[in-house]
Order: sequence, then structure tokens, then C-alpha cells
Amino acid sequence: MYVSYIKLVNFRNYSNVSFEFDNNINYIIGKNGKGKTNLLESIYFLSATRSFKTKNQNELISINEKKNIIFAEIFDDINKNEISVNLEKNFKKVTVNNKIIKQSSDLLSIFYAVFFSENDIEIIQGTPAERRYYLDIILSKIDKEYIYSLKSLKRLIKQKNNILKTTYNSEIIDVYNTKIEIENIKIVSYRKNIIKFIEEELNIFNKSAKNNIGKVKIEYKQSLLNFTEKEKQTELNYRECLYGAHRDDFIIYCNEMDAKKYLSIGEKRLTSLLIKLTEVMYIKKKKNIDPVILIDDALSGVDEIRKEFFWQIIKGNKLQTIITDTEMKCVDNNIFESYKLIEL
Amino acid sequence: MSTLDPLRNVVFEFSKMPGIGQKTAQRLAFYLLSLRKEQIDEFVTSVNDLKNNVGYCTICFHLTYNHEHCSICQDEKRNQRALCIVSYPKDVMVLEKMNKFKGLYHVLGGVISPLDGIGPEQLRIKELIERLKKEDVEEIIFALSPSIEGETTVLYLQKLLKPIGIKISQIAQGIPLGSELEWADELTLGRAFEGRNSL
Ligand SMILES: Nc1ncnc2c1ncn2[C@@H]1O[C@H](COP(=O)(O)OP(=O)(O)O)[C@@H](O)[C@H]1O
Ligand SMILES: [Mg+2]
Ligand SMILES: [Zn+2]
Repeated sequence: MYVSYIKLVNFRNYSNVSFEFDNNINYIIGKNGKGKTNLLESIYFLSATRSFKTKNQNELISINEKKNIIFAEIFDDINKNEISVNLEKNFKKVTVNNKIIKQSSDLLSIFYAVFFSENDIEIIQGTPAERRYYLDIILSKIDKEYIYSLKSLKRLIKQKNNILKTTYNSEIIDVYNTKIEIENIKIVSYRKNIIKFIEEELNIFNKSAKNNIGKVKIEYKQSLLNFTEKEKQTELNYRECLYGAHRDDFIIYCNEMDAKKYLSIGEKRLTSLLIKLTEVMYIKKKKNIDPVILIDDALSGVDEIRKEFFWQIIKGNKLQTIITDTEMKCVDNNIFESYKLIEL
Repeated sequence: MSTLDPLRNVVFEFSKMPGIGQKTAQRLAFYLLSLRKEQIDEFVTSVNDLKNNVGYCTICFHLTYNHEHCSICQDEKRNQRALCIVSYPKDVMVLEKMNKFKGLYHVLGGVISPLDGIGPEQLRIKELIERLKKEDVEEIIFALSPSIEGETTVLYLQKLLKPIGIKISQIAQGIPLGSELEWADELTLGRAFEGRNSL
């Protein structure tokens, strides 16, 4: 799939512009503050119906304006689809071919974008919440059931926290625990599945010597199997829900070393880039969808050899790619035979 | 006292009602002002009738008019052995309009939701237990909304009722996730009743 056209009205620094993209490599050049990241953010929004930059969607509306529009034409092998997003203060409407979309998973087969940036490093060194969020976003796009389980768990935790903090009633707590166990099993099994896939793919990348980050093992840290007296007592002592998928984490080991603790910044950056690349593989293999690749600041912080490995994969898969950069470095290096240049 | 005070009072009363904002409240007040005296009297009479003569059935807690027991509980032709448990009287109305279920009801008055301060004590669960002791109920069917709170309430009651050894089932298929029972159209609910799952 590829995005051929996008129009932005009152989106961040854009009051009214449109862009046309090639279905191959697109190279966007602009100085700092020109709106490169903003443009990628708008494209990503069409896929995830959320921003990669902020949880407060009101920030996406230009200062002093009340509403904005993102409109895009998306092509796949057979169809042309029009996606449009309308944001107003605390209001969001997403339509595909003029039909309202309720869940981001409904967009999966129409438009899927993977966004690469320096911040990906947080997958390795971020807080457990940030790391879970990364998995949750992918899984929510892939499966409605996952969204439903996550929402249910969130609500159950909120209700149970309330009883823990007020009138502790152990019969009701048991009922909540039973419900939490049921949703927890579902969520954990989805997460373990994708983590297994990531681990396998990373070890395949490892076979290319240039790219070696050492034997990878990813361990899912599950906080809840089931509620025994011990867990119930601890929660009663702290008066808070301490066990469940909302408290889980995962540890990435490279050559048996915890990546978060031991890898250099450069190695972390590379590992996070490769993990993102496995997301591309996941969507391709499991969902048979060719995602659109968005790359902010042209892989800055990654060494040249690894960059080349990355570009080879992108080119080999013929995915539409939109790259931003401050100068025309990639072009100077003759990495791409052909590309469309867009100057901001 | 200003001439506009009565108008303000009525607007104020309307604006306290659920789903009614300041603008709508004003529109309704002006509408009342435009009515003839007889129309106003009729309106006031029906509001009074509602308050004075509609109450809760002392058996099932559905609404009842002028009687201690509702028309469903009074109807001897209904299957006295099947009991359908719902949250609110409006759910009984939805199910009755569907005209598939021929048994009796028990209205809990809500669902368990600690965030809203509603625990088992706030619901008519004690009354349910009392009823089950007195009546010859053979089957209980849960028709609570498919929300987290509805599901939690079902699970709680299921555990509570297990020792009594009555057959328990739950209407399951056909209700959109996360939506309220009153929104489900009659057709889907019909299917939901046929496909009820034994718990
Ligand atoms: N809601 C907004 N309204 C107007 N301008 C905005 C808004 N959000 C961000 N900007 C502007 O966008 C610019 C940053 O754009 P960005 O895409 O991050 O630049 P870069 O090209 O460096 O990636 C800043 O100058 C900022 O003032
Ligand atoms: Mg930028
Ligand atoms: Zn009754």
C-alpha cells in the first residue's frame, strides 16, 4: 500500500498544504523546525488514529485554530481509499471513503505505517509502561479482541482499586480477581506471541554478520499467574492492584546481557531499529500487508554499515518509504537509484 | 420579585433533568408558556399520577401502577419457574416488547460498580435470595448489560447462587460489546434469548 496524496489543514505548523508522494522512495528535506516530523506525524495518524508524539490530540490543531483536517488518498493493489481525519477540541472523527471508523483495527488493511525515529530507543531503555505501550499499539491495530481485553482489564483494575481503597469486601475482590485472571491470560498470550516473533526475527538478522547484535533472548516478565492468598494479602497491604498485565514488562537479552543495562547507546539505538524492522516483518508475514515506512531524520545515530543493511531491506521489499533529513545525505551517497525529492 | 422569576424557576427545574442543557431547558419553558390552561392541567395531572400511583412491585421491583404487584407478577399464565434477572425496569420493558420470554423477572436496581458506590448491599440481592426460598424457581436467566459491571455482577450472583443448585444461564450472543441493553434492537435480543449459554 502507499499514500499518494495528503492534504493538511490547520495541522500543527501547516495551515493549508498538500503533498504528492511516489510509491517508492520519497526524500523530504528541510531545516530544523520546518515541519518534517509534523508531516510524518500526520501520515502516521491516519494509520494509528493517534500521534507518536503526544497523547493530547489537541496539540495537533494549529495554535489559534479550532479544528483541523488530514485527508489522504491511499492505494493498494486493487483499491483506492480516502481516509479523512477531523479533529476538534477533544473530538475525533475518522472516515474511510466517507464511512465512519470506530476502532483503529478497522484501518489495518487499509493503511498501516511504521514510524522510525531516534525515540525508538525507549523500547529498550524506557519505563515498563512505555515498553508495554509499544506492544499494545501494534496488537490493538491487529486485533479487536486485544483492544477489548485491554479496555476490560483497565476498567476492572479501576473498579478493584476503588474497593481496595475503600470498603474491602473479599467476596467482591474474588469476583474481580476471577475476571482479571481471564483477561490477563488473553493479553499475556498475545504479548508473548509477538515477543517470540520479535526474538526469532532478530536472531535471523543476526545471521548477517554486519548486523550482529549477539544472540537475542526476550523474556516476558509476567506479574500474575493467578491470585493466591499471598497476592491478595500484598494488595490489601498496599491497597492497590499490583498484579496483572498492567504491571508486566519484558527484558531483552543480547548475549545474555540485559540490553537496558549493558548495551551502549549506539547498540541500543541499533537494537531498537531492528525491533521496529521486525514489526514491518510481522505485518508483512502475519497479515500480508505491505506497510508504509516513515523514517524521521534518516536513521541518525546509526552507523553507516547498519544503515546500509537497513536500506537494503527496505529496497528489497519495495515498500513505500518517506524519509526526512536536514541535508541530502542519502542522495549524496547514491543509496537510492531513484527517489522523489520534496523540499520544505 | 421580577416578572421573569417564574420563567427562571421552570428553566432551572428542567435543566436539572438528565440530558437537558440550559438551551433546551429554555425552549421547554417557553413551550409550556405557550400551552393553554387545560393542556397544562393535563400535564400536571399526569406528572402527579406518575409520582403518586406508579411504584415498585414488591415482588420483582418492576414498575407497577396502582397495585402492589406488577401486571407480570399478577399474570398466572406466565411460567413461574423461570426467572430473568435484569438491572432496571426499562430492561423489562425491552424484553417484554420482544415477547419471547414468558417467565418472571427480578429487577436488581443496577449493577455492582464500586466507583459509583454500588456494592451488593445497594442492589436487591437479599430480596432475590428470599424469593428463591419461597418460590419454585427452576431456572435463572441473566440479562444484564454486557459491560464489565454487568459481567462482574453476574459472576458475583453466580457464585452466590451456586449452593442453591438452580440452573443458571445467561443471554449471550447477539449483543454488541460494551453497549447498553436498551439499545439492542429487538431482533438481536430475540436471538440472544434463544442462544443463551448455561453457566
Ligand atoms: N499546534 C501547533 N500549531 C502551530 N505550530 C506548531 C504546532 N505544533 C508544532 N508547531 C511548530 O512546528 C514546528 C516543529 O515542526 P517539526 O515537524 O518538529 O520540525 P522538524 O522539521 O525539525 O521536524 C515548530 O516550529 C513548532 O512551533
Ligand atoms: Mg524533526
Ligand atoms: Zn412484579
